[in-house]
Amino acid sequence: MADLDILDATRNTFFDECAELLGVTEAGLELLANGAFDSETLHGIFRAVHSIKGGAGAFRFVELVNFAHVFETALDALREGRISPDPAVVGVLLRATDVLSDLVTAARDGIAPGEGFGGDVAAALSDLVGRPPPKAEPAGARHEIFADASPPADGGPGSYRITFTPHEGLLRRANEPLLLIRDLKRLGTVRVHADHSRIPPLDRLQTDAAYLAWVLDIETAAREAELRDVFEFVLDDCDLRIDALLPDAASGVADGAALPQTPAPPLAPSSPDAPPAAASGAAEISIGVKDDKVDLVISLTRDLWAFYVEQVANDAAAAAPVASAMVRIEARKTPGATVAVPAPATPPGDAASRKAASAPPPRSIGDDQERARVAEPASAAAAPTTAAPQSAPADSGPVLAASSGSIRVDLEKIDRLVNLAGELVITQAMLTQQVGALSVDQYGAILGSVGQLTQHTRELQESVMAIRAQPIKSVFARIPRVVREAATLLGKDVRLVTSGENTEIDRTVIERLGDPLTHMIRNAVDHGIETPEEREAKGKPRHGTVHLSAEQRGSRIVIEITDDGRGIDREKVLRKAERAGLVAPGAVLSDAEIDNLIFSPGLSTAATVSSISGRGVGMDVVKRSLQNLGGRVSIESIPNSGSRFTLSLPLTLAVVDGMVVAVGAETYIVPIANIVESIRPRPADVHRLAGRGKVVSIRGEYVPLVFLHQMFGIAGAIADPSAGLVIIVEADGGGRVGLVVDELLGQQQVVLKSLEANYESVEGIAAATILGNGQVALILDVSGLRASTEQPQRPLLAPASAALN
Amino acid sequence: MDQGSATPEAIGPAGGIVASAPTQFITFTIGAEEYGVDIMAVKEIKGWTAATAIPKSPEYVRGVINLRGTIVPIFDLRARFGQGRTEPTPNHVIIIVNVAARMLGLLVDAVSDILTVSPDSIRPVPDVGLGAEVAFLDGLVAVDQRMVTLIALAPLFDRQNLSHPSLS
Repeated sequence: MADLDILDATRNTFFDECAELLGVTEAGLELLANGAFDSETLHGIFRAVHSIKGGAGAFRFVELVNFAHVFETALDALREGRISPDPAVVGVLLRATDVLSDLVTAARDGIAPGEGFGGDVAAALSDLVGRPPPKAEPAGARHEIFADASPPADGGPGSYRITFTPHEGLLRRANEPLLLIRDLKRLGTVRVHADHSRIPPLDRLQTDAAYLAWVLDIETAAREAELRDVFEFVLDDCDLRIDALLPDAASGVADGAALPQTPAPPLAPSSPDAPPAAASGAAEISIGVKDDKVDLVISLTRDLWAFYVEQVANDAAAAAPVASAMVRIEARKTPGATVAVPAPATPPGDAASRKAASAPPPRSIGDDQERARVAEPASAAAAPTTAAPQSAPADSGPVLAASSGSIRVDLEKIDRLVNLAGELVITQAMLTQQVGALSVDQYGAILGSVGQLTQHTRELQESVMAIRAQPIKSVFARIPRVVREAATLLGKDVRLVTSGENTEIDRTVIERLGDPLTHMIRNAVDHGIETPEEREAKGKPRHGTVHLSAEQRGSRIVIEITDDGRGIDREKVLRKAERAGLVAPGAVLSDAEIDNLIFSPGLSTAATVSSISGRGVGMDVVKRSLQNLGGRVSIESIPNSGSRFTLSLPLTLAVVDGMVVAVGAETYIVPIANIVESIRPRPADVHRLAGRGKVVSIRGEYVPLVFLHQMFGIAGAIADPSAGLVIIVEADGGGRVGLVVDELLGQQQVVLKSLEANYESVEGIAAATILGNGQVALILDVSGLRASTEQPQRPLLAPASAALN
Repeated sequence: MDQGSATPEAIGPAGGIVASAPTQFITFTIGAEEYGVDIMAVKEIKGWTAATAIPKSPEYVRGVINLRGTIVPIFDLRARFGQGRTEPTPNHVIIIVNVAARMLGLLVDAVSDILTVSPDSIRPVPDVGLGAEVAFLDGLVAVDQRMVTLIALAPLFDRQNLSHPSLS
């Protein structure tokens, strides 16, 4: 059972990595397509496909292995310059990426791909490489897909003796000889002879060192180079010798047992062994986390702990075990090195120097990884005191484990960390509040300590959140395919330009961003970009361009989708909206108002419902799913020169900077990001608008007022804006309202807590949080409040985004 | 151990009793009336603490409290059964229950007992014009001279009914 669990976990890791590797492949090919040809990119693509093949082989995903192999062969030809990366070639390779991605999905979900799935692309790949070349490509012989296309070039099966002697550190680098031997078995008939002479006596045995060596006699149709390929990833970690054997010599090793005469068995029969698709359900998800992020968390945790020791357990007896534990941690990081221990006495507050001190060995979380990496300098014998060489081996091979400088961590573990950090922030806030009443004269030391604690806690929390943040690349990587497919289907010529792929955003946001983004991109291609003929007639280049960009602006991530297409057809939108009853007939709307109608339910602007968009998922769904992420979407459009969709998303879903406000006896949080200013208007500035509530005039602009006490039914609040305060807030899509409150109580970072988890969503409320006094306070949803001031047909004020040009 | 057989399997998906094993209930009072909820659903019992009001919520939603970092809504059972709002004092009790993966609190007057009931002794709720409300009750149990009304938590706190009750 436990074995199965491990297998499942490994499978899940494999699929997680496949997703990343496919992203690498796709991104690399896009570079090639744009003419950015360099060998490093090409090697990257090759390694990615090769890694997928390797992993797939371990799990016996036959179709995946076969296809990846054909793919790899074509890439290899490209790498060796036998074919050149012209658009036709890259086109085939891109299609191959799509097929590969589908096969990965099929393998993950345990679905058998249809008969001959991807066969056309495989054939196209083979065509690229040319008719079975004279001798270069007998590799295919071991795969059914090539079985009749390229017979073994060197004639009958050969025999080799492979002497495989792992170095001691091989296992620590997450390599498994068993898998290599299994791989080898796939190439032919193998006789395995294990040499256990290197196993030391028990008292000197290290459980994670590799002591066994093997002599492997193989009878195979494969070439020597292919045998070597099996060991490609461990070449630096073992001694490998491959000698050709004479036919009779081969059987000589065998202790009398007759060698089976069958040639290399095809892969297919082994497929029933493939593990059941158990993993597809509630799979554990892991993500790659950069070392430096982990280091920061560890160092901050250590700071916090050191601080605790210093402040609370302020005697040597208590501090000693902690200090020694730290010595152990440090010592493990750099074996053999004399380590300067950042003792608990490190002066707190001097964060920069502390970080620098703990920076050199970028490691940790999980002992295995720790050891795996730390082992490296040990094998580099002569360098016991330098940590520097560690970075070098990182790029020695595209091992499945991780790309350089990152480790894989279970998302669940990260979430636990995030939650704990959140609780710590709340506890610290409570503490701060409780000591707030103490006099500085008498309790200066305590107050000072709490101040430092606050700083540490905040830093720790931020760095923990940073672990959850991932480059948006993983979402963007899906987009080229979306564009390609949509453009092909619609007979359009569309180029995709992306920028800001490395912008980091919370993992949860990333996961839930894919669908809305895909939909919007499809929309841009379908509704925005014209056909080449149409474009030519308008004097535009035949190919349309969709620009997808991401960047961080303050505490939000802004994603823009810009196309140079026809823009919103306002007349058509308006007609449709009238027909759908969204707009009163004859109403006069501003351009921006009409543009924003496309986010209304039941309004599909496509003249004909195509298979691309118009599948019942409208922009209203996109808008809602983004809102659920705390995001907003707005549009600007200029007829015949294009549209721009702007998505604004929170960096994290866990913390927000808030202004604590009082309304009667109730306390609410207004997100700082939304606040423009706070004013106490003169009575003369408050006007009643017939049937539309009240507005306040600020510097010539009229802003509608939201009386929170009315809206929320709170007794005893200040009803007169000129006696209380008006907080001018701006909704993310533009548009301002003034919230009437009693007073501002202060600014505070608050941890978002779901109200829906145990209750349900409430209009005008974004989430809940816990204040320093332990009480729950509700966080206002500014955009929701603003929406409530609007009449359905006619916003009181045009949105701020109305100003175009 | 008889109680040991009051495993979750004995509770139907809707919270109804389907097996013949005895089930334990925590009983509590609201005014003069005594109610019971399945002990398996009860996470903890705590004294009344002030709750943060939720705007635009029905009368029986008292607001939310912070239960060690979790936001838990508190339902006033007296108001839920249409008998007016409870005026809570520190002596009032919140019973924290798990219902369909959600955690919520029931504001009641006092907790009285733990009751072990065999299914045969649960009587159906007679038709006294309760209408839809019957769906929220699992049955009646006679204990000594008292009558205990068993509450079916799952239907009562179904998401559909959470703040928009079909109940009058």
